[in-house]
Amino acid sequence: MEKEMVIGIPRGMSFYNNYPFWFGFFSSLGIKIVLSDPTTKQTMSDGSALVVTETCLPIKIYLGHILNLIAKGVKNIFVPSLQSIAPKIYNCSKIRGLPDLVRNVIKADINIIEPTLDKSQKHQGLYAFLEEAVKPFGITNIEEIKKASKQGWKVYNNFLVMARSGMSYKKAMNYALQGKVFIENASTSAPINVALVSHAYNIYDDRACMKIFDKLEKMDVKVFTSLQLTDEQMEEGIAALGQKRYWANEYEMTGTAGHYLKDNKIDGIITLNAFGCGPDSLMIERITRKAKDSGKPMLSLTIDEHTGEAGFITRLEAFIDMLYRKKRSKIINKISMPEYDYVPQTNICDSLTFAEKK
Amino acid sequence: MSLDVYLGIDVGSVTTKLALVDEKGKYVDSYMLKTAGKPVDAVQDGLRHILSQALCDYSVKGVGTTGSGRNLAGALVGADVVKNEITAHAVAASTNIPGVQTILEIGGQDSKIIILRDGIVTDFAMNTVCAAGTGSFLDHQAQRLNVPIEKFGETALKSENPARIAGRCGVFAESDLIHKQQLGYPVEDLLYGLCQALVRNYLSNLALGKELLPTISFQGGVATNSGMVKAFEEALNTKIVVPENHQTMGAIGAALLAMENHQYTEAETKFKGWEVGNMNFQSVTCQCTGCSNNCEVITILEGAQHIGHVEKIGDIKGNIIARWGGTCGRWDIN
Repeated sequence: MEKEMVIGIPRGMSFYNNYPFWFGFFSSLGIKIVLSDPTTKQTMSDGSALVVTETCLPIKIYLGHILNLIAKGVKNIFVPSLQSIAPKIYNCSKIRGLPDLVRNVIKADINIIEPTLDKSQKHQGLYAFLEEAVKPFGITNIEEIKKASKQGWKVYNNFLVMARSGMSYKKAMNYALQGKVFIENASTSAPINVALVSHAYNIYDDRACMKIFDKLEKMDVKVFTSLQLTDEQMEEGIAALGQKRYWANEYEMTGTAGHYLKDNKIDGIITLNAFGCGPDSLMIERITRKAKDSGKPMLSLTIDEHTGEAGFITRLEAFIDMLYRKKRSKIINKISMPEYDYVPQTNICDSLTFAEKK
Repeated sequence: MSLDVYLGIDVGSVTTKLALVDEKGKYVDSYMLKTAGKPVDAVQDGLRHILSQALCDYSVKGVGTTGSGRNLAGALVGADVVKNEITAHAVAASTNIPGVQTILEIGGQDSKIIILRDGIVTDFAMNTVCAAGTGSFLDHQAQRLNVPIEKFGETALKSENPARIAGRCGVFAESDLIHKQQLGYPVEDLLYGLCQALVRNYLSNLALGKELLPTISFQGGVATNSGMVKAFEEALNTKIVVPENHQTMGAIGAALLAMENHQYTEAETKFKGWEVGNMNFQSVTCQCTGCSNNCEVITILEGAQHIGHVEKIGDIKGNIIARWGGTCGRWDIN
């Protein structure tokens, strides 16, 4: 029987980290990829309607994307279960149980492609994981899979090289998928440099993060993220916070924060987490304590599907103002500190004689 | 003879505040009125009032707006600076209160804490989803207990044995309050108990892990409530300064920011003049059907002609001064 060589990939969770790899891998095996549409209000509300309210925003969004793929008529949907990416390094339970979650809340005639990556329990290697991913398409030749994975790494590495050079996430992604590599000259320095510490699925989803990159750029802020760091730098970052790595995507949080806390060119740290995220609540607490000790200003933002944009903008603006004013504090002090002693409630019009007070 | 002034407008959720400072940053005048759901009218009324009680001619050199309605107010009057209320309050306090290191600010819907060192903001926090302890909640409870909000503080101060109210959440605080009221607690004990509960809530929510050093300034509408001031003083065991213009501090800050901007850039002000108070403005809401986000886009127009129902946003013609509500930016005007 001829299998349909089409795979649907939801734009959510690990998509934002791993898509360049999957693109190269599946394309090389002749499997056509259908992506869900970028997140909209509809995606969020559709996904939220499926699960209990306590579930975190990225999972709700993920489910919304699955519905979107079903609406597009995709039969095979890729929902990997990333249990453990290295011995004793685990993902959060929601990510580990993602295929089960999807199966339980979405009642539709779909075929969930659910390879499991578990390097702690089974000492399973990457190839076994990849084999599982393409088995439903009738591809079993290990040499072919190895070749395709090389192609996957190529796209992924191209993406990483460009992102590390300081190129924006979207640009780097686009070029990588087109098979191009450009290195941009490092852009000129901005008055304020900020490190944005968060998971990729929070900050590269325009809807979820309310375009935080655009907002910061408009305020003349240069944003640094985990993408500009090497694994070694992030490993050192985690060590700098005095802890060993436990969570699979801890690089994006404590690793990044730990590195940028020591970086003098960074004026402040912004963390962004989804309301109700267990691992983040622990990691951000650790980052907050370290930031306090090292005197680095820090802002913690929380998002969920009800987050109002007004409060979000106010916090961002106030934080950037604070950094900006700190930098030019000398000038500000000269301007805002009057030379005369302040006498409260003296209406200076009183001293003008031509009018009577009403 | 005319006086060079800077105008600050703070459009909050409940009240709208206007303030003037002179070219040295010294307080000239201020006025506060209810926003009453119509920020445009409130700004216009405020401008007319400030002008009518003027003792001399004003020559406006710059305008700053702040508060949750800052963008709207900025578009209406032609603001030079549109800033968030945290910066505005911090600037006003550091200029007017010598040695201020902590600002407690509680308004109609927001509560904030701002930590300053050497006149510079070093940390701040804003209430998140919880509005317990803000002005609206106190207003509501006072109304329920049939105490005029102006008398709230006075009544609360009479309390000798304050009731212990659960202040973790506004909903629980209310049911606890009703329970205690039915047990026969005197009103003053209930009110002061509520103040203490809200102060506990504020300190555990916003001030957690922050070092509250004196001088501590208490600003915003709720600072009028002497019961809250006393409760803060007891909880923090230190004197709290309530500046004379605590209600209009945000507007004063906005005016100071306009002044700073003018002295920095020396640019001509974009202020449209006091006539703004008598101009016609209207707003038209229309849903964009460009994508599945279905954003509601609101357009603010200046001018008299009436615009009724419109099908498409593109059909709105006239002197558009502001438009927002879209996510993608296709309807933004500059």
